[in-house]
Amino acid sequence: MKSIIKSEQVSFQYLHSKAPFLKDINFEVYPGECVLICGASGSGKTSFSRLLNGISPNYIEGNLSGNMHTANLNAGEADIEEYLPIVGSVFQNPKTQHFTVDTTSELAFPLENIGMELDDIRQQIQNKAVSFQISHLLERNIFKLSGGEKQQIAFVSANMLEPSILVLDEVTSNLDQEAINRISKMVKNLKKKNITIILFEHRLSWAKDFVDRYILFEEGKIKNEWSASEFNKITNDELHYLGLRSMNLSPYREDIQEKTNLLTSREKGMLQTKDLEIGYPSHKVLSRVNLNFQSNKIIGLMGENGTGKSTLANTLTGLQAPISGEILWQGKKMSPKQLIKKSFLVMQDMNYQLFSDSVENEILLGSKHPEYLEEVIETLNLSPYRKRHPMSLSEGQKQRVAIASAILSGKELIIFDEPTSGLDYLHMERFGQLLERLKTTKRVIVIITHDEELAAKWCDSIIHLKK
Amino acid sequence: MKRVLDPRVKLLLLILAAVYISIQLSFPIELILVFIYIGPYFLAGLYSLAIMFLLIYFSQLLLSQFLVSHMNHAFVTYILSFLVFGLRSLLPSMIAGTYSIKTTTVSEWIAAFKKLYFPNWLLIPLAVIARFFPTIREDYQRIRQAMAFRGVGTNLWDLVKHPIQTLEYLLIPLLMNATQVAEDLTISSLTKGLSLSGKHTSIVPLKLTLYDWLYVVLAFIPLVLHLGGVYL
Repeated sequence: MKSIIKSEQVSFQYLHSKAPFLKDINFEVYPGECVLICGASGSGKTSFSRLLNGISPNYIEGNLSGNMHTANLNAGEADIEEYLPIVGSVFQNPKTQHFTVDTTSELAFPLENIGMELDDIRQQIQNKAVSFQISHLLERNIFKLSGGEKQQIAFVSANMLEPSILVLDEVTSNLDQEAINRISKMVKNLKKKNITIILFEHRLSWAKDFVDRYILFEEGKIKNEWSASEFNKITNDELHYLGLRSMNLSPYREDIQEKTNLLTSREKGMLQTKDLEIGYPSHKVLSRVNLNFQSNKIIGLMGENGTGKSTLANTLTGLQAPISGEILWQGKKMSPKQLIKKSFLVMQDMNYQLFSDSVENEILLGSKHPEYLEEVIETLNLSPYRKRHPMSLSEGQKQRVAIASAILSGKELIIFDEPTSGLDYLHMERFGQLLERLKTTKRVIVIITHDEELAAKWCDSIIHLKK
Repeated sequence: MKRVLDPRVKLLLLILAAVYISIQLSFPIELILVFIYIGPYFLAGLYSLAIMFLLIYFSQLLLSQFLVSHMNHAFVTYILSFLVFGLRSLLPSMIAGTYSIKTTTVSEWIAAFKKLYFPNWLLIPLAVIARFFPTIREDYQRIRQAMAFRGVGTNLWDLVKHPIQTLEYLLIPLLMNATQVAEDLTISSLTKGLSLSGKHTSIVPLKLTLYDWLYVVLAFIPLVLHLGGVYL
């Protein structure tokens, strides 16, 4: 059989970078195969995915050597438009890959661009909506969809032109388990239709039913290759050693169960809620919320999308007033204004919360205890970067800067929103260790997360929100 | 029934508004211009916005009368004349711009740009910009929240005391985020064929109606009156 993707001695160096990012990549993929390319952040996964769908070196430029064939196209020679009927692409961030603002136009978009007649476009949208089971999402405002629904639309939109190859670049990293299951089902169905699928992932467990082959990238090179049956024999510990997330999540799920039951303890916490009703008067999200948050503990806040995790976090931090009920801090009733002063929400999107021109100024902005600057910089390993511009840091470093500023501004309630989505095993572990250190200080620490490995390993107790 | 102008007519209104800034219209013509520009708001059901713009305009008119006859304090006159004369000439642009943003979806912009045969190098950045407005609205709220936790720019007083600083706190994350979003959006549009040459179709029906043609004519009236030297 002839391969559909063939990489011969491929090396790639970004424009303006000093060293090649990908080195001597050799492998082939056959039609209908599903190959998962894994590796830690910075191992070259995304760079390689861009060579498959023509984005590099066409749009994101660089020096390519070797031969990178995708079907009959050769990277560096073919125009980006030639890839259109052959490769469909879905990307990591659900927020920035939709070009229109309503779902039907989004699905129509690729069809309009090839100049399809209007009646055919409508027919094609109906067909695809039925076969991907997303008819209920048609004619909706994309900004009002959940992350999972946005990703489903992106997935169908990438399949509107019926490409024979699908490139999925960490498409599940921002999603909860239910949304991942829906994406997983879509991939499985395409596999049955003999579509070639290349997954770039460091979360592995959701894809184990349909992946044929696993390839490990490390520092821009292929480090190892396994068939599915070989790979399934690898233990979680061995995977962690390679920087990969677990294949088998069931032990973690058991731990989470246990930690959820811990919450019944009657011990009085620093932060308490009493008959809290949250949401908006027209749309109540949760009612009768009676929770107890102790200090010196890491508390996980879990539950599917739409169960009110963010609304609860916004209410606890004072961004949003409760409809009724009370929030008590050490037994004293707090107003939203007082809560904002006490709390800090570390957002998933770090770029929203960096304001200054150097790490040092960033940490000192609005700080109450500048005298601890040296100590905090030291503990959080930020000394090499103190003069750097915060925006030039990696996501993990930005996160540490945010934590540093929360500490210096004397905040006693720190809530993290999905801190480890998109992190590989090593970086997730590092974040866990950071939490461990943070909890020795007298603070209430809450983690909103879908990350079962993080929750099982590093949280002391877990609140599970249900509808 | 609500009626909205065709995006191409909105573009025409925007371009003509820029022309009207650069020529000095006499007062009666300016008045006609403002009424012509505010008309589409009422047909689109944007009553409160229309009334707000009219209130701004008439208070500018009143103030200008007051300014001419009563003011002799140099600094206050300077500030007031900026509000009254400077911003007044910008008002038609603001009216047309707000209307365009409020009533046009990204798909409609793209459809209009394609109908006008915009070349790719113009079409793609314009489409990305049109796609930006709803994103910026979301970003703005998140950034305000992040500022609240840092205790900066939380109230109006901060804005008065340190206007530049507060603006900077808002703009830096907004722009930094914008560059990332722009790149992501461009990549995703390229993988979906926005840059394909050849005829593109559109599921957004764009047809010029009688209303649109009427506005094409109306929009030129102030210019014709001005060039014709009519002073009414």
